[in-house]
Amino acid sequence: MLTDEKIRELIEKLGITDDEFAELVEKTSDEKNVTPGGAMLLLHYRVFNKPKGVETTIDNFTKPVKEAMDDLFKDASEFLSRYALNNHKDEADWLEKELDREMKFSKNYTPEKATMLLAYSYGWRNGDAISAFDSKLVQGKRADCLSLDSLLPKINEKGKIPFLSGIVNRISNAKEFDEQKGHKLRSTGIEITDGKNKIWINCHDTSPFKSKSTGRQVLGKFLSTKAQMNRTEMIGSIVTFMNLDARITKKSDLRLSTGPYSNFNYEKPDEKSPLGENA
Amino acid sequence: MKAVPNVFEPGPSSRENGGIGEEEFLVYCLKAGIDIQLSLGPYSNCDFKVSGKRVDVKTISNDFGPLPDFNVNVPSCQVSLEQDLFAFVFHDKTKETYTIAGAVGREDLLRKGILKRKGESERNGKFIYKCDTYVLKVGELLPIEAFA
Repeated sequence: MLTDEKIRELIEKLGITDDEFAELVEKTSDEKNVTPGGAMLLLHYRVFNKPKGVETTIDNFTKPVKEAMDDLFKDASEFLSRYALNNHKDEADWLEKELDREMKFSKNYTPEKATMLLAYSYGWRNGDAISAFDSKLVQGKRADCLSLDSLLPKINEKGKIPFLSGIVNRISNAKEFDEQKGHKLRSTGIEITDGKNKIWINCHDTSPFKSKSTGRQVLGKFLSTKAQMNRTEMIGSIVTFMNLDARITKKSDLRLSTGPYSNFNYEKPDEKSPLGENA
Repeated sequence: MKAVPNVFEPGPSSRENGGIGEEEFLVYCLKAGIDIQLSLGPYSNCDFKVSGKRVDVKTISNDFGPLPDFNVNVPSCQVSLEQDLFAFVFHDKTKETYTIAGAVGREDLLRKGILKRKGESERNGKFIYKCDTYVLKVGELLPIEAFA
């Protein structure tokens, strides 16, 4: 069940000899009434089980212990090499240029972290691209590419993305603001994906107000409530957002949110079971 | 790339219970000869892969173990396309035992589960949902073997 490499990794992590490991496997196997192979899997689980409550956030790149960081860096480098080979085989220096740009963009990051960030933006998730969808299904339903280098050119001079489509991966709980933020009353996050990249869109309920420039009354928009009302149906649907606000934060993250002039609609894929095996 | 918003952080004991529940699930699958793999990456949003299906194991503590009429639940913000199955393990606090109650596919959870809204209550107000939650009866779960 475990590869030789994983077994070696486990023995090293436990800091025991091969004989001691064999004894431990036998003991675990007897104790839990599983095969020796199963016992090794169980030991691997116990030793390497991810800490509970670890969120899938990019900030966690700073948290893993050194060995885990080394593994992640190796994974990310291999992923990028494969990606470059598959998608940019005619541009020999593509990866080098991208890494240079990432280093320049991320300033204080180490080359290892910059590599992992770059890999992340191309869909790397601990060595595996996210395979939530059948790519044919995604293409047929016009999901946009959601990698950072595809999103940034979509932002117009007004700081808006006029149209953006993706597949709904998950919907957060509604967050009520303690104090009203401008016209914003509450928000719900909708995480969309193209099957490889993911990004959250903050959808807001906004109150009606009078436009300073035109003097006209602008109606309230209730996109947070709309997401909450339709959350079960929306998971797995293709959603199209109109007029999204886009901004780059001080931490160089891209934040997308809806405002009083935004909207979204969604449609279920035609397949009998959009959330089934292909999802 | 933001973290999934979490309404209430699990306490240390819940995390420990969750860890034991997952281990019991793993042992159960190993004993049953089910094809199970670990999914331990820090960015993984599932615990195991059973016959290639991504499984999120949920552990519920009570004083009885599972009964068909009991509810199992999944916070709605945790239901995403990154899990194919949700498996439920009951921790009987009295007997200190763990029982695998069964599993449900994500599609069935969304279709059959009742979406309870934050603030809704049950048992004459004794239990209040802290966040939007999909709720299903234990009797509606299938044995994990059905997905293997």
